[in-house]
Amino acid sequence: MSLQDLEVHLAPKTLFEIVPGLPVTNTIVTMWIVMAILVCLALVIRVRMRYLPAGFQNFVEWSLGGFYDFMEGIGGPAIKKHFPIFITFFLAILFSNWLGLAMGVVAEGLNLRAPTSDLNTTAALAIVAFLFFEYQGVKAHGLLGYLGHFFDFKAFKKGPVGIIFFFVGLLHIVSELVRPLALSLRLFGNIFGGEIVLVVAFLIVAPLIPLPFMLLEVIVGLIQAFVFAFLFLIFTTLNSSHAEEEH
Amino acid sequence: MSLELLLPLGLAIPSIAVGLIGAKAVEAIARQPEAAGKIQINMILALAFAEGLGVLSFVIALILTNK
Repeated sequence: MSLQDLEVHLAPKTLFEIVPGLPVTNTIVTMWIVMAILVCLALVIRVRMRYLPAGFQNFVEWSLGGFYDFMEGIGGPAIKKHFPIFITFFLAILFSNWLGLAMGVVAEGLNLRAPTSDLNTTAALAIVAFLFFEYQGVKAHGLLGYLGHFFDFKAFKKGPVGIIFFFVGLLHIVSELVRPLALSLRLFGNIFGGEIVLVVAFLIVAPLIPLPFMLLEVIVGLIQAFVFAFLFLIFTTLNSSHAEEEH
Repeated sequence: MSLELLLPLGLAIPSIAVGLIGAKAVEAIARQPEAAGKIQINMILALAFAEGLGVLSFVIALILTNK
């Protein structure tokens, strides 16, 4: 295979169909593998859980504890209730990104690729995150109170100035709606772009020279998973905090 | 604007932004090493937004050329 034969497909490849019209693509299969790995890890940890952690359990407790302390530093103690969903997003995205890197080397013949290099997966993750932090906003302030964040209803009493505040509110709504789009496109673009860079690097130069790109992609996978969970946390905290009750 | 300029400009300008963010963060950490944690958090956040724009132009170019 040379550089001229390289074709970039945005859509994932359909492997088979369960029933006609319900295709199973290669990204779905890799997502199943990620889910299996995560469930197996959780079961292994849970079955052999000890009061005094040792070995692998120690490592997992240490890393989760570090992550929790970090998130509590941003979101405050209220984070305790929502921590599972953030760490789930982080782990799922992290394993997806890294599995894609391993797949590209191990199973190139099967045409498997990272779940997060498919816009459908990242859009689904971003929409779930979007629904979650909107729900938290409504839950914390009530529907009218939450809308009050966008539209300043009191300004209407002061006369025509209210119309300006109404348009400012519309802009706020747009910037809120752009959040899931930006979340999904950022993750997708980074992972998909990274895979293209890797393939091109492996095609045009000798073996071993593209290894720095591989290292770069490992770091990018970690940082993007982190950034997704981190932005999710910040949007949730911003929507549900009572800090700006005054206005 | 023509499609050929989309990717070069869309990658060059965010990369300037990324460089500025990194430079300023290193400067701030050098000035106040004890605030390194908070600076790094804000740096990564700003980096994500700046680099998101570059990625956005990349995705748009990909979609437009891949029809």
